[in-house]
Amino acid sequence: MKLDLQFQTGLLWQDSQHKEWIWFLNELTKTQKSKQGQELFNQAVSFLVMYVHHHFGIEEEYMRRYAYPEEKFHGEEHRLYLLRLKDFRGKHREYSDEAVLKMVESMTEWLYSHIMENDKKLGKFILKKEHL
Amino acid sequence: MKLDVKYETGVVWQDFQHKQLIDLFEKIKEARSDNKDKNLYRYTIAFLAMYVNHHFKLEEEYMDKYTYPDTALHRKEHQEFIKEIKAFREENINYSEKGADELLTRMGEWILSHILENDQKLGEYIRSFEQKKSAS
Repeated sequence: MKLDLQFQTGLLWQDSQHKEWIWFLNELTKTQKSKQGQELFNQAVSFLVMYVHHHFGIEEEYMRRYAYPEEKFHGEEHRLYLLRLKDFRGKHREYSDEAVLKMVESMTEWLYSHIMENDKKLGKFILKKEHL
Repeated sequence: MKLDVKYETGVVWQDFQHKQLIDLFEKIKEARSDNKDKNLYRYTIAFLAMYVNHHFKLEEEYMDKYTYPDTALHRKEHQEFIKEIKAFREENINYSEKGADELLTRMGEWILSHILENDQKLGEYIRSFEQKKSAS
């Protein structure tokens, strides 16, 4: 699975995590056809939540460390997204094909636009700070 | 648990992930002592396995891209650990106190010695490689 060039920030760890995130979303769509849908769905969603927390955590660590001027804004975007995710989980405790589809669609959309609008800027900033 | 300074590699993402690995380790301990939440215990272990895979993969991506000379050895260490986690999960599908203790002990020892012996070297290499790259 490749991350389209336009979505790459040029930072190895960041691109690798974005790629993995998208892979996760694909995994989530597979639960649709599975007999153990509910169990797999629960697991995939909790994985995703943990993964997103982790990914945001690393980005925020870099922002803090390098005193990124847009730290507050970018951090707020993350926080709002986590709230959305929490809200989604509250509403979709039960597995349904519709829930999976909704989640994957809205997450993919959010991720791509967040990369374009925020992460590319952050990636560039980190690369500059680390003189890469 | 806090990661002592001597375990830091100086590579931000790498240090961050090591810290989180140690945190996961703590979470498993908590889930273990909380008998009621078996799902949490199972998910945390599953997440740990996934997380370890992710962390290793990322290190290996750097090793490949930066042509790290010790790649073969380092990769072998990773593979052995993954095998061990897999075996552990197969043997401990259900919650067991003995299993949890074994995992915790083994993981703790492994992480710390792997960081000291292998990751420090890799971290240093990544940093010097990136410095050279920026100088050229």
